[in-house]
Amino acid sequence: MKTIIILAALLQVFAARPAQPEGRKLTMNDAVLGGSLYPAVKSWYWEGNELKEGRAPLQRRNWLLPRKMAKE
Amino acid sequence: MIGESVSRNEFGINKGVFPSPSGKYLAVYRKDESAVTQFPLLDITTRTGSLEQIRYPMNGMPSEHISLLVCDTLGNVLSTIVPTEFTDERYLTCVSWGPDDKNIFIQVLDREQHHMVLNQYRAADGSFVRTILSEENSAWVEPQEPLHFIKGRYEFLYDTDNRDGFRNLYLCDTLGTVRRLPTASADIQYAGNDGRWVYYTSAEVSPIENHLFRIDLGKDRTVKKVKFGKPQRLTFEEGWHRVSLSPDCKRFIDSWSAFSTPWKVAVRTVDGKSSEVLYEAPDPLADYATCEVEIGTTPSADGRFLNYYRLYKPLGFDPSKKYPVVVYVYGGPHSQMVQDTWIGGVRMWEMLMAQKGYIVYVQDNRGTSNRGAAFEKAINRQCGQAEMADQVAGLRELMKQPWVDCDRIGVHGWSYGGFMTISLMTNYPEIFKVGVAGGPVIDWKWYEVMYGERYMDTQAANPEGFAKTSLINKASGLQGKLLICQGAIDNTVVWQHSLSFVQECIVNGIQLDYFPYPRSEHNVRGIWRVHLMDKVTNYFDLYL
Repeated sequence: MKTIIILAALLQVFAARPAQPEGRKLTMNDAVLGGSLYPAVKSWYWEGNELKEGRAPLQRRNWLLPRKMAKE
Repeated sequence: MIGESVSRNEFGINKGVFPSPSGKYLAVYRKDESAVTQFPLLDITTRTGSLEQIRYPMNGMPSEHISLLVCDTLGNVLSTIVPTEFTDERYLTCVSWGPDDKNIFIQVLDREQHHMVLNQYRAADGSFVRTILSEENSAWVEPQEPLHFIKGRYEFLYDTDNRDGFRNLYLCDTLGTVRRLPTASADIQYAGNDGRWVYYTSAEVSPIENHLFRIDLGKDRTVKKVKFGKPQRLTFEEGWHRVSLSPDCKRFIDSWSAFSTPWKVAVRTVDGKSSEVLYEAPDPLADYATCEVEIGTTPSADGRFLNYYRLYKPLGFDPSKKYPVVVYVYGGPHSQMVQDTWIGGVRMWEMLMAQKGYIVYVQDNRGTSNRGAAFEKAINRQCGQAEMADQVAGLRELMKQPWVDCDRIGVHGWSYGGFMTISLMTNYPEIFKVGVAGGPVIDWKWYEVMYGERYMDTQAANPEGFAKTSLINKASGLQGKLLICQGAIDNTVVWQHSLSFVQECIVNGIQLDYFPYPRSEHNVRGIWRVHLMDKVTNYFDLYL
């Protein structure tokens, strides 16, 4: 019971974003398909120790099965 | 089958081919699923309809037999590794090559997922070398990470949550010396090492934040004598950091987001002397009318934990009015809905519902991830019980607010969240008036071996737990308005679940609504998803 009382006292809001009443309303298409409603992401990767912009190329060696085994 | 993922992608398995460090050899899964029963999926696109049979290992029934082949890159098999521990239905998880191409390490788990041995095998002939360590837990043991060898040393980092209450990293040698890295009491994740420093991300700042740390292993060459340094924190901005270390571990790409930070990317040196911001995303909702959103904590039902929640208040919120509530729930293992990312991990359908005048509430209950073993294992052998208790405890706190219309509370979730939705509707009919459940588990006896037996054991071993959690037994108690949606070719939660619930409602004279997506698997994707979410939204608009 003591624990519950201590925890209840700790009940708190960490962060809040105020309402922004003016502006466009979301449509269902926006809400479901609207990637543009989420923060735009840009990527960088390492080629050796050199920084490159973009997505890292797929390393095919990691998943390709030799043709001989694939036939089995 | 050879070279494909096994164990239905549990235990972190997502591929079936493991190249050795030099690239000269491959370790390849071989799966014998001839004993696994088939489940039929109806294809309506053929002229008279047809059935596709899939192998689906159901709770308590025969499962896969897995072995590991070692071959060269031409596909010539050099050896076969077949562990001898436990039964033939054992799991071969976390396949790892030693740095010299000579040894393969496998975390071998019994079908019941209570015992695990970390075994070393000789790649050349598949022979067993030794068992390095073992784990045991009456709830479950869940290996998820391969070994990470320390650069330049034949010592490795091993990951488990089975020793000290949190997912930690342990420095080990092949003779079985095991020492925990002196990290804080929080779940951590390996990020890299340069032979001297070990880098990892950790939830120690807050369970909803993720930060990069490192620990010095010192210069000593043996695990027994290593004098660990103190953890050093390398990311300081509030939020959830994803990092990618350069191969030499001198720099890292830091991509992060926080409640008020949409997305930022920087490249930094690990010594903290240099940091260059590469990108800063603008607020994508700047032109939109948005609702008030908050994240906070609420005590778990047992009073032991503070659970995180996300709350949306309706657009034009007036505290003197009363508003209906929609609870969005997932609640299952390996999930974390509330994070200190942009607007707390906002989902736009929740924002849309708030724009339409609903309060939307999302909580990470006991059983979800990133909070340590005790938090996660609270659901053992009775999925849904602790989860429901927490959801309801949090909701009751919310219901104390004068602006909550306690007679208009609904719930929506998919998959484990669909199971939670119907569980909440039938166990707490006095609270939940409307529910929309998608792809729901109805009875764990129809769910797959690997995931379901971890949490529930088999029906034969845990009859009380299965009886308590089965929604078939709850159908007669359904009182509110319930809509079930399901992909008719769902190969994860098979159709048998929801159709059996419908049949039980028919038998008991209970009305409910049902909407199949005939060509969808477990999730309804793409443009069809707009149809689905319109269906869900309209249901709340009509009945809540």
